[in-house]
Amino acid sequence: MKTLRRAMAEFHTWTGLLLGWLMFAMFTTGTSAYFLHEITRWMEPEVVDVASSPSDAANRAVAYLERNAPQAASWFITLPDERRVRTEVRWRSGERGVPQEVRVLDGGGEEVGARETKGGYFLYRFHFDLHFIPALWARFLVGIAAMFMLVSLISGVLTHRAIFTRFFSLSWGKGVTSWFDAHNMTAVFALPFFLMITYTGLVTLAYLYMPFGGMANFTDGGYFALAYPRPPTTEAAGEAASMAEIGAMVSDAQAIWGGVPPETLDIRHPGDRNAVVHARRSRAGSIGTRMPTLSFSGVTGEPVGEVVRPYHGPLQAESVLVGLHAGRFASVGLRWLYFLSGVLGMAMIGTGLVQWTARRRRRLASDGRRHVGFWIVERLNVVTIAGLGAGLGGYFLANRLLPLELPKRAEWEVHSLFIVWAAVGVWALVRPARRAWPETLALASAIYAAVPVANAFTTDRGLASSLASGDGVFVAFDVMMLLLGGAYGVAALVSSRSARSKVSIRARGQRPAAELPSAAEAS
Amino acid sequence: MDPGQASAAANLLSFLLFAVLALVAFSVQSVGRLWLILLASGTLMALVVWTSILSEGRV
Repeated sequence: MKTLRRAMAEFHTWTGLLLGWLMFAMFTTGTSAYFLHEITRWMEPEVVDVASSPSDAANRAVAYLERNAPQAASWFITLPDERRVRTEVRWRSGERGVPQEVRVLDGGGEEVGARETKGGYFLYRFHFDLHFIPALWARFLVGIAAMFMLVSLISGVLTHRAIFTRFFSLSWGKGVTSWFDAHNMTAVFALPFFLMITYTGLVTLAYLYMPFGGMANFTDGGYFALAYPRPPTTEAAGEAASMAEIGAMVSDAQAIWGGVPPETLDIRHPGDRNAVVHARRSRAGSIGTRMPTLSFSGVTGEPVGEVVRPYHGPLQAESVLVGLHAGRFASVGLRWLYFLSGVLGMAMIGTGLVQWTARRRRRLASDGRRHVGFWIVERLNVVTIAGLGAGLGGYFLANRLLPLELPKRAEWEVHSLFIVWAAVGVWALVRPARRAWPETLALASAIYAAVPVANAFTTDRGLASSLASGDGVFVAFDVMMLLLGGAYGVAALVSSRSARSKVSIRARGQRPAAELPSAAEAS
Repeated sequence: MDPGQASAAANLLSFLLFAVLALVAFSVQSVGRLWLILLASGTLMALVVWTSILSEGRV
C-alpha cells in the first residue's frame, strides 16, 4: 500500500503540474460561464429589459424578419427568457456556408444597436475550445487535461491519507504546510463537485474522445441519428403563401409541454406554401439537455410532428450528466453554488501549483544553482494565476473603453484579454518571482477596480443608477468586479509582505520560517 | 440492449475504465507485464468486435 501511495503521489504531482495551468484556465472561464447570459447582459448595456411573453416576442421577431429579410431561405429566432432579455434573430440568405445575418431585438421587437461583443459566450466557448488553435485540437487538449484531472482527483484522495482529518487543521503563515493545507481544504470542501464536473465534462464530448462504442454498433452517422434525431427536411414549393400567426404556435407548444415555452424557433422557407416552424423546448426546469422539437405548418399553424429524443436508459443518463455539467437548470441560488464550487476548483489548482514551487524552493535553496525547470514553473504560475485574472478584467474593461464604431470590435475585446495576459507574461519573465507576484496581482486588482468606474463613466447604467433602478444583474456584476479587485489587492499585499520578510530574513543570514519543515511535515 | 443505448452506456463507462487503467499503469511493479496484459486484452476485445462487424452486427 505504501508503494501504491508513493506511485499515486508522483502521478498526482506530475499530472497536476503539467496540466494544472490549462485546468486553471478551463476552470476559471468555465466557472464564469455559469453566468454567461448575465455577463452578456452587462456587456450589452444598450439592451434594456422590456417585459414580453414568448408568444409576443415571437410575433415581433417575425414582423421584424418579414420587413428586413423577406427573401431569406430560413429564419432562426432565440426567444428571451428569465435570464436573456434579448430576442436574437438570424437569417441566411444563400446556401449553407454563407455567413448568417444576426440582429438583437429588445422585448418590444425593436432592433437594438448593441455594441459588438462576444459577451459571456466567448468565456463559455474558451473553456473547451480555447483560442488561436483549431477547436478540434483544443477539445482534444482539454479532454486530455480533464481525463488526467479525473485520475488526479482519485490519486489525490489515495495520496493524502489524512486528507479529511487535515481538512480541519488549516495552518496559516507556515509556507509549504499552509499551501498544502489550502490545497487540501479546497479539494475536500468541494470534492464531490470536482468529481462530478470533471466526469460530466468528459461526457459532454464523449463521442469525440471515445467514439468506439458507437463505431462498433453503427455505420457512419447512425449513432447521432438515433441519439440526436432531427425533424425531416422539406423542400420549398416555390409558391408564396401567408404565414400563420407564430405566437399561436408558441402558445400551443407551451400548452403541450406543460407550460414550458420554446427556446428557439427554426423557420424554414418563410413565406412559402411549404413553410415549416420547428420549435425546440426550453431547457428551463429540466436537468437533461435532450429537448423535444415540435414542428408546425408555417401556413396553417397546425402541428405536423414532434421529434422526441430518447428519454430513458443510458442515453437519458448521458443527457442528465451533460445537464449537470452545464447547470442550465439551476435556479439563482444553485447557480451561485456552482460558481463558488468553481472558484474553489480554481483555488485548489492554484494552491497546488504554488505548493509545488514552495516545496521545490526549499529543496533547491541550499544548491545555489539556477534550475531552469523551476524558473519556468514559477513564471508560468504567475502568468496563469495573476495573468489570466488580469486578462479577464481587461476583457471587461475593453468592453467599456473600446470605441463603439471600431471595426471588428468584438475581436478586439478578445484581443485585449490576450494582450493583457501576454503583458503579464513578459513582466513575469523579466522580474524576480517574489516581485512579479505582488506587482501582477496589484495590476489585476487595479483593472477589476477600474471596470465599475469605466461602466459609470461610459454608460448610464453605473452602480449608483443600477442600485436606484433595482437592476440586480448590473449591481451584482459591478459588485463582483469590486470584490475581485479587493481579493487580488489583498493577495498582492500578502505576497508583497511575504517577499519582504523573506528578503529581510535572508539579509540577516537566516533561513525563512516558511522554508523550514513544519512539525506536521516532519511527522 | 438497444445498440444506441449500449453505445451510450459504453461511452459513459469508458472514462471510468480509463481512470482505473491510468491508476493501475502508474502503480504496477512491472510495466512490461502491464503492457502484455493490455495488449492481450485489447487484442481479444478487438477480435470480438471485428467478428461482430464481419457478421453484420452494425446497424
